[in-house]
Amino acid sequence: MSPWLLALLVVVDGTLCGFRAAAGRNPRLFLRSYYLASLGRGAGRSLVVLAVFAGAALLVWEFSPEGFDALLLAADAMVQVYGVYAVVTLSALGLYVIGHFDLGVLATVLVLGPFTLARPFVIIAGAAWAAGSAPHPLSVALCVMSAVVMVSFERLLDVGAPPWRGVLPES
Amino acid sequence: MRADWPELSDLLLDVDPLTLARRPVPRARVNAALARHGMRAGRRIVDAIAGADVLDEAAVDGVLVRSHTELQRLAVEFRNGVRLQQLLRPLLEVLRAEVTERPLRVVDVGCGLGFVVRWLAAHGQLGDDVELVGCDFNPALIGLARRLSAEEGLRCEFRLANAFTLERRAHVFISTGVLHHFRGAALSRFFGQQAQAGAKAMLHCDIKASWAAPLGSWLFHQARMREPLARHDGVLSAVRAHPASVLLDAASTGGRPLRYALHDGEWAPLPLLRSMNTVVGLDAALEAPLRARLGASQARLGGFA
Repeated sequence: MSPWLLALLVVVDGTLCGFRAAAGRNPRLFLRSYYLASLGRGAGRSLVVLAVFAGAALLVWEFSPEGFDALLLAADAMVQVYGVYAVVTLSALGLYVIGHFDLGVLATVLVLGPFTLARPFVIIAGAAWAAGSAPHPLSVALCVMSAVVMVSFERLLDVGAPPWRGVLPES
Repeated sequence: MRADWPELSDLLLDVDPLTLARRPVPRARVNAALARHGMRAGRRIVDAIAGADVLDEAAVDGVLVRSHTELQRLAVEFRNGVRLQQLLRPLLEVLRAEVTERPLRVVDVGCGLGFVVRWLAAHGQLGDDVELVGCDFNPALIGLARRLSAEEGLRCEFRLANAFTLERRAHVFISTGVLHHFRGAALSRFFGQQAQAGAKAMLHCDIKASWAAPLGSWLFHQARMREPLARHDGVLSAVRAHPASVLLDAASTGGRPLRYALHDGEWAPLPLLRSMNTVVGLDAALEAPLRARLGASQARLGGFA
């Protein structure tokens, strides 16, 4: 169950990264299609990341059964950390989207802003917790690699896209 | 950071207030101001801007436009359009009953990219008899504001102009994040110019000074901004935010005959929910009708003096 939950969390996180990578770069008011494209870009690239790590996991399953067992333990540990973060973040996002002025501002001030800043640290903490829970060389290696990729994921979304999306002068 | 430090955006642009002609900004003058205050981080940001003896205008415009675009993202997240609409709509309803002149003119002072004006034009439901005008001294920001409003078909106007000397008088002056740019006598003068311009009311929204403001501002500018100048000035803005007493003293000293109160100005142990407050200036005859229009939310409006 944990690998599937972890995959879902990667896609949700990647999709939200897509939003953040695009936010603050287009000064128009009506941005529905702009943001939908950005969310799609985030989701799409997160699926690519997922495919790469799934491929790596399959190789481990094929050649190192004990390594694969460690990977499953690591996935359990990651879900514990990232699951809590995701539930809090998505709850705050829901509160914001509902539209009540004060609740929206409170969700932003207490969760959405601070949790964005905390995200890299949470990713590293989750990976460290997972590596500690399943100290097999292969699972540790994959934990480290996944943390590196997800911490830098938002920047990866800028690859191939002008930083200011062509709306503003680039330099 | 200290409250007497100048914001970089204020140092990078020099406009003659009478002719609105843009004057060259010598790098040495900016560096001297930064050195006087020991602003080392600010110096690094200015060093990265092109230009030898004089700062390159296009480079400065690029930095300011990108910073304001990022700032708009925060304005959207903190719902600054709704924040102002909550006061402006009832105020305009009161003015409709008190003022015969049409259209009712709302002028945004220092509008930047004109986010609030454009948002009000798109979503404000202020009525067809309301004219929205944004004024700023920065030609790059006003140029982009015009382009954006034209592209999105919005009924509003942007002027590279002094908001207080427009040919047709404003009934209401508004602003967002402008008050902290003025200090001392300049702040009183800011209110005085609006009263002298014949305004019936004013709504000036700005960061609320509190122990949490600089920390919260730092957090959000780290999380949301990429432009170093936007991050720098964003945090400094919160440090420079005026306490309620300073705002009301300056308004009362300079801005008579209007009377002034603060909306969302009350101090709270956790000033997280109300991170901004609004100076409300009113013709005395409008006070009671406005309170009546605000209904239950009038409790958020302090006493007028």
